[in-house]
Amino acid sequence: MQLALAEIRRRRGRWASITGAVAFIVFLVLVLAALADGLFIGSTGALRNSDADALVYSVDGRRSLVRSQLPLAMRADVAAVPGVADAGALGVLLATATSADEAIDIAVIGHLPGHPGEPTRRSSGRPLGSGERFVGLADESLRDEGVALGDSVLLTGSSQPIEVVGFVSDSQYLLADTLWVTLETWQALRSEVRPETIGRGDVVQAIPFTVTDGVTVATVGSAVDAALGNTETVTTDEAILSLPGVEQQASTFTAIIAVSFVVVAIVIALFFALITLEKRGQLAILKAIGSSNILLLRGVLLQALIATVAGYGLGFVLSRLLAFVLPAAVPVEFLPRTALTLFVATIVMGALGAVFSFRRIVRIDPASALGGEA
Amino acid sequence: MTAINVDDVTKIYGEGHTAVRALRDASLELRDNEFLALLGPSGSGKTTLLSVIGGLLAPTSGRVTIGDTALAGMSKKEQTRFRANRVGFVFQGFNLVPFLTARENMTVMGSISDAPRSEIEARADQLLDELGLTDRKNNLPEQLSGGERQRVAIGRALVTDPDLILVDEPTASLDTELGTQVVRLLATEIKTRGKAGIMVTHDLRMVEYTDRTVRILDGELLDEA
Repeated sequence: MQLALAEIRRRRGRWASITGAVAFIVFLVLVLAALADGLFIGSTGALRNSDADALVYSVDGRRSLVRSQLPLAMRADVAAVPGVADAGALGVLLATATSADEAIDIAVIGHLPGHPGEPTRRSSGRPLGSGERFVGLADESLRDEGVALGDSVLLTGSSQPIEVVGFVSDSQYLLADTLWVTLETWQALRSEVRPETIGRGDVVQAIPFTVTDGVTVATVGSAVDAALGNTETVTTDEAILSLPGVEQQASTFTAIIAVSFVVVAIVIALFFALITLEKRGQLAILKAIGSSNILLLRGVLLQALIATVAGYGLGFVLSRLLAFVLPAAVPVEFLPRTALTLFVATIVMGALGAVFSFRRIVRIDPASALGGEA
Repeated sequence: MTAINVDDVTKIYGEGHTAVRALRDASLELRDNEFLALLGPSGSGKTTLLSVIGGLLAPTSGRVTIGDTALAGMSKKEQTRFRANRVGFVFQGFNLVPFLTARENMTVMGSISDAPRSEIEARADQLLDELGLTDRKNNLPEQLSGGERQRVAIGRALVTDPDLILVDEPTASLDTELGTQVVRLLATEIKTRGKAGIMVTHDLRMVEYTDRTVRILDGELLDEA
């Protein structure tokens, strides 16, 4: 241990370079992970923070809240299926609003207050009353656009402003800020903003429902599809992954992050291979005077641990500094859970990289220390 | 008391046509408090003999006993413990750990041998004093002269209080004056501690500081008064 620590202390330049290399990769990985988390959170809040266990879509809607079309009357059919505790309704209207001369994308989500599908994280203001018209709950992200409690939001193409009576957090839909209104308001806005939908009758886009205790969501979902025909029922988790791009984004980022970790292991492995080669003579001497392989390997592991912990710390600080200069529009989320997972992964990959030099160290013949061969 | 007993040791490297007989039926006895010079040209087998005695190489046949410990049949692990606790090595060149100070190059034995660290540290300070290195104890090897480095190496060999000191060409990298100084110091340290020591050398001028000289040629020991 004394040896391993003294080597780092007295060969600072070299250990700074390996720490820097690890820090750079960790920085990259943390920023990528924050982007991935940010995208995931910003895309899925509307469904993730819903109390629904499952959603019913039309089959031709292919699990898309925007494509799916179902008659509102079906809500009663869903509620009548054994195992369904309660059913709601969801409609999405992608619109724009103007605030401070800037157009903002807003997803107006119509729902039935008090029934499945409503946002669960109210942060301020009051809840919506059933059937209440032209009032809404705004996502916290709209605050950044200058919307405050009591303000009104006017959608492009609509004559009816919507008064913000409360805020909900983490309820975004596909990175758009959301405005939660009653189904009645949503229908009125839809016919103004999308006149082509007039005359289609009472159509909603999904029917979220909760199940009673003691039944599985999948079983009830199958029962719903069997009873209604021409519907596809998916659990809320499945619905989240079926949102356009969400699963693809997650797997792309996971792949990039995994490759980066392989790079961490390779960088550490190459570094130790190099210094082991360089120290061959010195290691032979140490083995000749009685150092066991275990002692030397423990030293290498300790050094790898120090390099990766220091590299992670530096990378972590750098990634947080970057967060300060990133524009608010970039969806980054630094989650403690992600940071911890990546910390453990960095340490493990560093140790794996170090293990590669073990065989080289074990093979050094202590007898080569004599006769000036070393 | 007999410190080292080498009995009929043969060491063959390789097999068949390429086999090289580095030691032929070598026998040697050394008492405590005896410093022996092993004199021979390069390739004579002197390093091989030193390696066999130091538990670095297993002989092809024959027996080596250090004190009451037979080296034959030891596992690699036992050989390592044996070297850490009972043998002090001084290598050709200087071979100090470059990023440890003079004192640390000695005290590092505290994590290698089984001796308590406090004991190693006390002995290191005493040796630094005896070897005239107290002022240089916090210097790194690159800041020390050749003679000083070899004195640190001697200190490292003695700091565990081993039974046996094995020295490989200690003057190879030193000029005559420094070489003589170092060997004289080595002889004093070995004698005052009552250790058994073997020094491999091809430098005839160094043998006057030893008790006895044994010549080695083509792997055979030729005893000499």
